[in-house]
Amino acid sequence: MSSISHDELQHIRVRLGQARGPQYWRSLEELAESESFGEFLNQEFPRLGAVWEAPMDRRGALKLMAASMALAGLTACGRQPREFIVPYVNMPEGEVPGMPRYYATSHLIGGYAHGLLAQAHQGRPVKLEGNPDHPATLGACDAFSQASVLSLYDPDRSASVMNRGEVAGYGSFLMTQQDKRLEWNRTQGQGLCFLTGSLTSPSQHASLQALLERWPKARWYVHEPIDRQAVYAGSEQLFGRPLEPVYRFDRARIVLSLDSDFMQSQPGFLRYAHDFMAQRRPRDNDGFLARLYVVESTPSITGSVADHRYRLSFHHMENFARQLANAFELDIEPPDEPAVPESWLSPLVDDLKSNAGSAVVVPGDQHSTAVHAIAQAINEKLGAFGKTVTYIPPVDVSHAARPLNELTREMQNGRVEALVVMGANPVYTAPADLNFRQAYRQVPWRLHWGEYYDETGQMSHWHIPACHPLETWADARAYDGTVSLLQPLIQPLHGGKSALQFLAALEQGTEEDARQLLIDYWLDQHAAGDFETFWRRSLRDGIVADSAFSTQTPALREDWAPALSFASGERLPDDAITLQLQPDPAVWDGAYANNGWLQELPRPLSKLTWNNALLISPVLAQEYGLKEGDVVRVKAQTSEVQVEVPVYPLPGMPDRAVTLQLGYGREGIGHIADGVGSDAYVFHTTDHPWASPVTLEKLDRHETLATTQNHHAIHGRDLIRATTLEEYRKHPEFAKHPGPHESLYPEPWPAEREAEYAWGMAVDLTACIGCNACVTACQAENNIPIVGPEEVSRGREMHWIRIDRYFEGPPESPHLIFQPVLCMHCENAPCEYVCPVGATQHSASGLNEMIYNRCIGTRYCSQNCPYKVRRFNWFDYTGEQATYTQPEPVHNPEVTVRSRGVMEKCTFCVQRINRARITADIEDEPIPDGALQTACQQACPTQAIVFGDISDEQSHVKRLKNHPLNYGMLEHLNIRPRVSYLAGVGNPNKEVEAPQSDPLVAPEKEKADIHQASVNGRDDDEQVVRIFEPATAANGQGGTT
Amino acid sequence: MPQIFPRRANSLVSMALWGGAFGVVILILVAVTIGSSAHDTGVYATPEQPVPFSHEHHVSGLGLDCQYCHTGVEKSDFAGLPPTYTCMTCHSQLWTNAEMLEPVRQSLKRDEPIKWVRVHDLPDFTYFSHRIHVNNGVGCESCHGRVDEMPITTQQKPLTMQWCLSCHRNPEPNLRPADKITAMGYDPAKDSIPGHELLERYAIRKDNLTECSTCHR
Repeated sequence: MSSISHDELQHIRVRLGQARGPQYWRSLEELAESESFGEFLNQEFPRLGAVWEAPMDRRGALKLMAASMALAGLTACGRQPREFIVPYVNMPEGEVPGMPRYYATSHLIGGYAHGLLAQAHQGRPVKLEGNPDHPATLGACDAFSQASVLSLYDPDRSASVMNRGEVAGYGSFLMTQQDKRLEWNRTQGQGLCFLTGSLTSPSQHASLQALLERWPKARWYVHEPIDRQAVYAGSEQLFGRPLEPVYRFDRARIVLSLDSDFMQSQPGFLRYAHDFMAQRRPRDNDGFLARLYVVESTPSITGSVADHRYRLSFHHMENFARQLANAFELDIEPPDEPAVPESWLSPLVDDLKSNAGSAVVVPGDQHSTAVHAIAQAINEKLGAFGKTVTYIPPVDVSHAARPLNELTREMQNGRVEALVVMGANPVYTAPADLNFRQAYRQVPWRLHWGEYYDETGQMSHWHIPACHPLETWADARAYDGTVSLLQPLIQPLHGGKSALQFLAALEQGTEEDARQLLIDYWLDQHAAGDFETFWRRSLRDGIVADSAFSTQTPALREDWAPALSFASGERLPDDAITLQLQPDPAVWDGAYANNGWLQELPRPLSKLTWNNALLISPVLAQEYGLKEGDVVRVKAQTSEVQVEVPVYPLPGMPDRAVTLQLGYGREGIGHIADGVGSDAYVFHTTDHPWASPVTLEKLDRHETLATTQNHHAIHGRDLIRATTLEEYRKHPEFAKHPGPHESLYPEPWPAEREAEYAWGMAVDLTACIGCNACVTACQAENNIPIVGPEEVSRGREMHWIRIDRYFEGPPESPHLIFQPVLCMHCENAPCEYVCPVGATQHSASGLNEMIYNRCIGTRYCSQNCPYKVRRFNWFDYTGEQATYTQPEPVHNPEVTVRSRGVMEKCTFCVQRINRARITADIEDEPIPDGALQTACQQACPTQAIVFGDISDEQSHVKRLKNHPLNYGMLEHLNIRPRVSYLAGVGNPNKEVEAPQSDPLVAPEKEKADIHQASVNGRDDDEQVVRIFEPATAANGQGGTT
Repeated sequence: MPQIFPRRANSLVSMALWGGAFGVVILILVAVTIGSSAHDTGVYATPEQPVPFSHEHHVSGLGLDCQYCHTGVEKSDFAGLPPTYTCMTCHSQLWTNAEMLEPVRQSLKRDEPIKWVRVHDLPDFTYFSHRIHVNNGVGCESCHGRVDEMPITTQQKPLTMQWCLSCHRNPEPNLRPADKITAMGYDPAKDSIPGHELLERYAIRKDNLTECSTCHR
C-alpha cells in the first residue's frame, strides 16, 4: 500500500484543522482518505485478486469445482487412519496421562530472568505462562518468553558438535579439551580468553571465577549487544561504585522518562508496566492518577502511554538532560541551545518538584553515562532514593569483565591463543568498526558454545550446541536480584549442553551431570540447614526465597558533576539525519530471529511484520518524496557503510531522525531468519553505538512491506473513546453514547438463557500498553499458524486477537492509543445468521462457537462480521506442505489444528472453560471468579483484560461492566457484544502546552465536546437511533497531549 | 416444418426426469447406508493387537476392576492404558514364559512402550472427557459394551455423532448410581433409582449437553 503525497498532507492539515473533538486514525493513508486506502478498506480480504494469475473462464471454474467436489467426496469415504496408543513403560510418579503438569522455570532476556510456569503434556512443553510468585512477572508473560517454546522445537537449532565445519562427537571435543587443559595448566592460561554475554547466574559466575583462578593469566571479556554499561558507569560516576537502579513505580505519581522504554525493553519491564499501570487506575475516588512524561527519540509503547510526549532526536537527549539539570540547580554546564522549550519544561519541573518523594526520572539504557548520572542526581534532589528508586549491587556481574574493544585489540596483536565464546555471537553483533570477524579469524583456537550454529559458530574451530532454557539446569537473577531457577522439562532434543556442563568440560575435560553441577553449587551455599527441603521448595517456587539483593542507600560523590564529559559537544552538520539503532520489539538483538511467531508479530508501533523498515518521520518522507516501501540508501557519514532499506513513515518520529531496528539481515541461521530485513549492526560502532549521522538517498525501487496497520479497518466509527481525568470526573459517563432502543422485544442483559455462567470480557483501554503479550499467548494456546510475509501483506494473518493502534492529533506528534480487538461474542451475532451450514452457533453461556468440521468456507460470516475478527485458512498453513510449518509437538493437544478452507476466530479459550467446568462439576463447586483465565488475560502484564461471569454481580468483570467508562464497540448495531471496553483516562498537566515546533502542525484547534465529534463521525443509522433517545449531555475532551 | 424429435422422445424425456429424481433418492439412500454401516463407523472392528489381550479373562475371569489398569478414568480426560510395569506386577510371576507375552517382556527389557492399536477412535476434532462421564453416572459399558465378554477388544457402539447425541439429548435412561459405574451387565432401566432422580443427584445441567463446544473446539 502506498503512502501519501504532498497534496494529501495538505488535505490532512485542512481536515484536522476543521475537526472538532478527537479524531482517531490508524495510518496516514486513512487520514488522507487516499484512494488506495479506500480500495483496501472496501475489500473483505484485500489483494485477493492478485493471486488469480491465470485468466479463468466460467467453464474452467465449473470444471474445477466439479472435480474438487468429486475428489473431496471420495476422500470422505472410509475410516480414518489407524491410530495407536503408546503408554509408558514405567509411568513417572504423579503423572496423569491427558492432564497437563506445570513446572516453574525461567527465561532470560538480555541475561535477566523472567519467571515462568511451563505447561507440559506428557513431558512435552507446550505453553509458557508467567509465574505468579516471581517478582519480575507476577504471573504475566512477555512475547519473547512465550515464543521461546517454539524455539525449543526449532529444527534449525544447532544439533551437533561441529569441528571446523564438520559434524563431530562430543567425546572428541573432550579429548581435545584434555590436551588444552594440560597446555593451559602449563602456561597458567596465557593467551586464553573467555567472551560471554551479560551474566546474572551465580553458579556460572562461580564456575567462571574458578577457571580464572585456576589459570590466572586467562582473561574474561564481555559483549552484550544491548549492553547496559552506561547504567553502571553513570552510577559509578555519581556514587563511586557501580549500582543497579530498581524503580518503584508502585510509589510513583510523576514519572519522567528520558528515552527509556521501561515497559518493553528494560530489565524488569513486565513488573514496571504492572506497577505503573496500577497507579493509573484510581480514577474513581479522589486518588491521584500517576502522570507520565516521556521525552523520546523513537515512538515506543512507553511513549504511547504518556500524558505528555516530546519527540527529540537521540543526539539531543543529553542536552535535554543538561537543561533539566539546570532547572534543578545542579552544577552542570548548560547546553548551547535548549532542547525543549521552556513552556514545556517548566510545568514538568514544577510537577516533579511539587511531588518530590513520589516522582522519579528514568534514563534510557542506551543513553550516555552523563544522562544516567544527571537523571539519578535529579532523583536524589527529588528525594526519590529509597522511595521511587532503590539501589542494589549490579545484577549483571559481567560489568566487571573487560570490554570487547580491548579483546579485539589483543586479538589483532596476536596475543590471544585461544578464545572461548560463550552464548554470544560477536561476529554478527560486535561494533562494526572493531572488525571483529577479521580479528577472530586470527585466533589460533576458537571455541563457541551457543544454541545456533550462527555466524560465530560457523567461524569457530569447535562449536558446542547449547541447551534451550527448557532443557537446561541453571540459575539466573531477575531485575531485583532474585535468584530464579531453570529446570528442564525435556531431555535435550539435540544433545545440547548446559552452561555449567560446558564450563565443567573446560575445567575438567569430562562430561558431568547438569543437575548435579547446579546442586553442587547450591549445596555449598546452603551448607547449614536442610538442603533437600530448601532445594525442593526453590524448584517448586521457581525462585530462591529471599535472594533479592538488599537495597543500598548510596551517597553522591562531591565531585561527580565536573567530571562528566558530554558527547553532545560534538556538532552535527546541519543537514545530518540521525540514525538510531534499537533492539527490536520482536527479535530483540537477533537472538529470536528464527522464531516465526515473533517474526509475524505486528510490531507495536509500526505494525510491520517480517522486516525492519527504516522508520522515518512523515516530514522527512515528504521532503525526500518517499512513500511507504520506497527503498533508500542509508549512508553513514563517519564511515563507508551503506545499506539499502525500505522506509516506513511513522507518525511521531522526530523530524530529522530515522530508526532502524537490530537483529535482521541474517544469513545461514535458519529458514525463518534468513534474508529477512537488513542488518543494522553495520551502523553500530564503538563511538556511536546507538545513533550516528547518516544521509539518505532515494532509490528507484519499491518493496511491499507486510504491515497489518490497515488490515481489518473499520472506517469512520467512534471505536476509541478516551478523555482526561478532569473531564472524566466532571462527566463520568462520557463514553456512554446512546445505544440502540429500536428492538420490539425486551432484551435483558445478559440475555436470559438457561445457563450457569454468562461469559464476558472487559478491556481497559487505560491499561493497555500494546505490548503484544496477549497476541503471542493466544498464538501459543490456540495453535495459530504462521503464514509468512506474502500472506500477511495480503491481509491474511491469522492472529485471533489484534491490537489496533490509533493515532490522534497531528501526524507529526500524535497521541497514541491501543485497542485489543478479538471476537466480541455478540449476543445477536451477525455471523451466525448468515452461515448456510450452521457452522457458527451460540452457546447458552454466551460463546459464539465456531465448529470447524462443519465449516465449508463460504466466508459469509467474515463478510458479515462488523469487527473483522474472523480469520480464514486460505491454504494449509499447518500441514507438512506449508511454507512455515510449525513443529507438531508445540501444538496444544486441547485445541483442533485447523486445515485449509476453514474459518476460525477467538473462542474465549473454550478449552480452558470446558476444563474448568468439568473440574467444577466433579467437585460440585462453582468456578471461583478469577480462577478461569483466558490466555490473553493471563499474559497481560497490566491486567487490562478481565474475563469472567457477567451474571455474577460480584465478579470482577461484572463490576467493570457496571463502570461508567464501560462502552461497547459498535453497540448501536444492537449486536450486543460480550466484550466491552473501558474508555481510556489520562491525566495530562494543564500547564503543559503542546509542542509547537512542528512545521506541519495544524493550528491549535478548538476542542469541542465529544458528543459533537460523535455526531460528525457517525453514519445515518446512528442518527436514527438518536431520534428515539436524545443524547444526554456527555462531554469530554479526548487526546491528552 | 418437419418434426425434429420422434414420438418416443416424449417417453425418453419423462424416463430421464423420473430416473434422475429416483437416482438422486437412491444416491442419498446409498450414502446414508454406507455412512452408518459397519464399514464406515467401525462397529465390530477388531484390530489386531501386539498382544492378544483378553478383557474377558482379566475382567470376568479374574475379577479385576477397570481402574486397576485404566487409572486416569476418574481424574483425566483420557482413561489411560497401563504402563508395562502394571502388566508385569502379575506377569513377572504368572505365565512368565508364555509366548504371547513376549512383547510385554521385550518392552520392559528394552524400555520401549507397547504400541496398542486404538479401538475406540473418535475424530480429532472431538474432545471426549472420561472423567466428566464416569463422575456423572455414565458407566463404562454404555460406550464400550460388554468388555467382560470380549476375548479381543472390539468396538461395540457406532460412536457416531448421532449416537453420542442420543444420550446427550436424553441422558436419564443411561445413568447409573456411583457404585455401578464399572459394573458389567447392569441395566439402568431396571434399576430402582429412576433416571431423573440420578440426574438431580449428579446435578447434571442439560443446558449445555448438546452445545457444539461441549465436544468440539
